[in-house]
Amino acid sequence: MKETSITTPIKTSFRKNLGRLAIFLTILGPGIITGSVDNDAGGITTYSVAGALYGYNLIWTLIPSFFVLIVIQEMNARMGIVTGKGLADLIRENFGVKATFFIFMGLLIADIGNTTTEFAGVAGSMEIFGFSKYISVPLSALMVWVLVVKSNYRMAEKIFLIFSVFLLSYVFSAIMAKPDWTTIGHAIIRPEIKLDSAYIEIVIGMIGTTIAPWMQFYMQSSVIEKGLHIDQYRYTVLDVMIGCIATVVVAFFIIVACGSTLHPLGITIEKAADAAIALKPLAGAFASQLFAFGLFIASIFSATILPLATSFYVCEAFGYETGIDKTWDEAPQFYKLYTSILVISVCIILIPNAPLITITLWTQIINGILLPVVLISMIYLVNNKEIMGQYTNRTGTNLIGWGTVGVLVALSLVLLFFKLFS
Amino acid sequence: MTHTTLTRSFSSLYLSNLLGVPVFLQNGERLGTLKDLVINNEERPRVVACVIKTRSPRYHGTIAFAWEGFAITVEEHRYSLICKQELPFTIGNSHSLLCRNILDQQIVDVNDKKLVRVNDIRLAFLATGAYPVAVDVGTSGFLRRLGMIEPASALLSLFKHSVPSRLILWSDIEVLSQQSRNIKLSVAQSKLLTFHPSDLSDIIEDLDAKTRNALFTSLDHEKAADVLEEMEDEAKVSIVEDLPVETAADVLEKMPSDEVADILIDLKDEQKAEELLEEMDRATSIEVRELMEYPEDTAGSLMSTDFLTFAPETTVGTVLGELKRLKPDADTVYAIYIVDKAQHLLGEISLRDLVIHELAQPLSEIMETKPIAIGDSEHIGTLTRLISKYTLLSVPVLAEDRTILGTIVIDDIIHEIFKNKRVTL
Repeated sequence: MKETSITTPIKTSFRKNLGRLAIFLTILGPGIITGSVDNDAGGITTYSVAGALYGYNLIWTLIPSFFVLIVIQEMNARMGIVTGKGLADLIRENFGVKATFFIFMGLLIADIGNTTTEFAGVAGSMEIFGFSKYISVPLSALMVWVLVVKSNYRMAEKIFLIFSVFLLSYVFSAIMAKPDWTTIGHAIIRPEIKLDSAYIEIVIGMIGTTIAPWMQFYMQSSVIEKGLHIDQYRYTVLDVMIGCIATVVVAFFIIVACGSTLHPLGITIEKAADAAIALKPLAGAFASQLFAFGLFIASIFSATILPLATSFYVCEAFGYETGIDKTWDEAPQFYKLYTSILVISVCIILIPNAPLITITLWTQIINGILLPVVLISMIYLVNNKEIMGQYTNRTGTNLIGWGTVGVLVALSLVLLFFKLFS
Repeated sequence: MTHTTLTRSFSSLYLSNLLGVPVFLQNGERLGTLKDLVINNEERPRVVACVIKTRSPRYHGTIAFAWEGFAITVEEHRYSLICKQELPFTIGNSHSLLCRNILDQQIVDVNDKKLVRVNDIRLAFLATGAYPVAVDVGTSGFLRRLGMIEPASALLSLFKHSVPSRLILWSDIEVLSQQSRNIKLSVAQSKLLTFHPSDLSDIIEDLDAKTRNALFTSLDHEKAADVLEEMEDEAKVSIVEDLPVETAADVLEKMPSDEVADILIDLKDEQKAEELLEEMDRATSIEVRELMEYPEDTAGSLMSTDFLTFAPETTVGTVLGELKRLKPDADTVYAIYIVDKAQHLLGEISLRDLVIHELAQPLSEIMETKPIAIGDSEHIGTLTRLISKYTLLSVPVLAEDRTILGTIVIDDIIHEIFKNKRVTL
């Protein structure tokens, strides 16, 4: 063959640089997307309510949440890389049918609740822009469905990732609200922890919305999807950290935005959209619209990913064909389940005077019961030499892991107690 | 206590009926519970031993006994095992555990050529012993494991429906994952080797990383190359990254250079790409390196450098003789090319034209002297237009001075058209 080089070296090096950027983007992804989806309508609601009720007082909870998030997601990333298997697969293969059935039914019900909350976010935010929920919700659900079933989801995921930059709109909303930074600093360093039931309840709510059970499954699958290897492990840890930082930073600014405007005036809210409305006279129409737009993006992003991820894990665990690269005929259970979750959630939202607060409450309770179960399964799996080989947990990680489980179980029990007996 | 030994009166049972049942000694003393059944890894496997979880002070936790020493009894739909003789058994590499290695794991359904998850295992009891005969991958198996099969079938029978069940015969499955026990996938090879590379690649793509690599490395290089070629781009890269450099190089050498170039470009680790190129034979690695230089959307990046050229005075007979000797792949002989001493393209002849002409005729008399060709740096769009306008099977790729560099066959472009469609949707 001829040895004539056709392309100029400049082109080649440009291509190589593009390649490096692509590598960077392929490795950095799972953590960031998980982190962004984490700040969904439910999260924004909880943070807004926390800010309105207690001002800057609850910002401190973000610090332990941040570390727990990192520890848990690092375990997921490591399990995904080492085994190449999803968490649903591992649970089914190691704990049998009964445990699997319990976990995934819980996950399914909780995620229908979560998806409903996302559509509530869509409805609320679009109402601020003057669209009725009877138009905005069915339209966005249809859009989401078509996107996943008829089109290219991977592409959509990338677009969403870019869109998640709009979550930074909360930073601007917060700054326009002219917060008192010294008070914020004080609140973080020396929080006044109260011990009344309402306070504990919202602390649990905040931790619960930051560390949701479905995230563990999502994180692990994304790592596998990217085909990451153990030698890329440190990039993955970096990715996990960036994702967690994104989650916590956005949460921080939502609390600050609501804490510096609504709290001093004693305005209490129930939905995230209320916060956007309440912001208008205080921080200006633009801040209000930014807040609403952020809510809309977050809601639609999670409304796309949550039902999809849930159907994926349920089918994976129960042994049905699954995955968006399959056609409807190849994976009927997967698509039927996915469509059902969307349809049920949309119907709940469209019922006039739907008991959204009750739904949110029960979703939180199921999540609260599920989370320790999933975490205990994870710690068992990640310490199993047969599964993890030399990559089992170190003593330190195990201590933090079990400590987290202990605290979460205690918090979940307290939450259950409050919800059921108060 | 009176036990009726019913070994002959029930011909088949599910594994889920037996797991966890109590195991008694003949004197009625309770030994423990059944934890697992051991089978031998043969074409038609047989149950050879029981794993029993025991609290008996004579043993530590779990113990395996040979199947010959046991009988199954049933009393009011409750099964139990009677251990007539305690025959110690050592589980070796030629054995598998039904519960640990097969139940709840993914296996290959050989008929449907896809991965399924085992919900239950059906066992047949014959005079000669106990045999696993089928796996249950349907809803009925799942419900049976949950202990909800009876209420569910009662409920469904109200609507004149039955619980859907799906059994696959043992001879139609392929067990893949052996977890920590690295059993050679030799049996797997025999059944999976009959699959079309495209079917096999679909299955391999769906497997977890460990099993995928084990299965892939158990294929011979030729087959492995065929399977690799059929995979999605991401899976290709992932497999090559996981293989040891020598094995990967051996497999890649069997693939068309353009495919190899595409894979190497996509490798995340450039060092690995370099090592692979070093390991491959020199001629191949030079070709691949050249192809890697082409930007992604040019004709050059798609071309294969496997093609046949002849001098204009060569006769049809000589060419046919050469073809018989070389036995080239189908897609390299859609057409042969006629070049001068400096490899400038003079003409092309399709395989059909070659076959219908007299053996003594020189190529220069029958060749198409103005073949449709494309420049190596031209855009893929131009290429697809040419191919569809003239309905071509292959197009020669030329340098600016009309030197032939390679060919692009329609297969490569079909792939390219679909790939583009996927991206732009």
